[in-house]
Amino acid sequence: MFAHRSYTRRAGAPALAAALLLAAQCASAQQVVLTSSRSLDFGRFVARTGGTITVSPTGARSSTGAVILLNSPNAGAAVFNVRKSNSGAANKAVVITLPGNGATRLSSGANNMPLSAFVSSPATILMVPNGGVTLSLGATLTVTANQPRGTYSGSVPVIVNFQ
Amino acid sequence: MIKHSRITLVAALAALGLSLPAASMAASATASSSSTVVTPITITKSADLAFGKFAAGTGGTVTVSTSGARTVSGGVVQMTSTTTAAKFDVAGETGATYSITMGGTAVLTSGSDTMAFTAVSDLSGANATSGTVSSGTLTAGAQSIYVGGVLTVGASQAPGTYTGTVIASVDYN
Repeated sequence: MFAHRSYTRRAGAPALAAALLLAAQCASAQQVVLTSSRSLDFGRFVARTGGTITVSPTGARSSTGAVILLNSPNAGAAVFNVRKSNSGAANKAVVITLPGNGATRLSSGANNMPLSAFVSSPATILMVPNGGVTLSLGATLTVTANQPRGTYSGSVPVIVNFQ
Repeated sequence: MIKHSRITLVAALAALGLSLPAASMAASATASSSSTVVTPITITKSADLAFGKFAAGTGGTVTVSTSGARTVSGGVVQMTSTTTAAKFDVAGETGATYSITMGGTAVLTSGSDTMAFTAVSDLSGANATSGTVSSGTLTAGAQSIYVGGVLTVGASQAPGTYTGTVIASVDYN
């Protein structure tokens, strides 16, 4: 009984120390900050027998297959801002992690369409200037034949980290 | 036994201390994404344009309005017959606007004889005798285009059954 209590106390102390250490590291180190400022919008289209719609990081929209693109003033690439938590040195490269093919879908009720081929511009960030960097993101949407009409929506998660 | 476990804990702490300065915290953000699948637009003819029977006389014009009513000018003499305006039914995405392009033949022909034809159109069949529509709105997912026309009849226009084609094309804006 005594031996058991003694062990518990000893194990508790390092755990607390580790937690404090972790908090200290996060507070003091230069961190990368990511904010989303524009959504990835594939616009309006007619599905017909299906195909794909690609929005490039520049916002250009193109289609393959039978898909017909309709005028869509709001279509365009997603835009993020990558910056540092505070100004200063830390000229570190940033690792950009985009969603995998098919990992994200746009859905409307029970219907959905997969997103794939995510492309960012720039593809790599070698250093983050004090003012931050704009990161644009495009992707390809796959449309099945007679995709039911509707407004489809979804979320595209992006992760950045200093190398 | 107690000694041994102390050593293990200290070593673990040291390892944490070494690894943490190299680690940085990742930042994540989520962009919303959207698209709109639109119902295909369709157009079908539900009535033909008929100018009916008339005598050319000294020539003039025959007009069928968008509601199908006929009027003549000049020396043309109407004869009892049924006249109708053409009707095209458009269907598609509710609330969508679309463009309308009228095409087809500029003349009605009967063998080698012709009469010049000018289309008249509206979206309500409201007895229009001039003008054309170039756009519409699928307020409840459907709309109709009514097409009448003006025929130019020559003096002593040769008798016969004259035919032509009216083509209406629609496309989403």
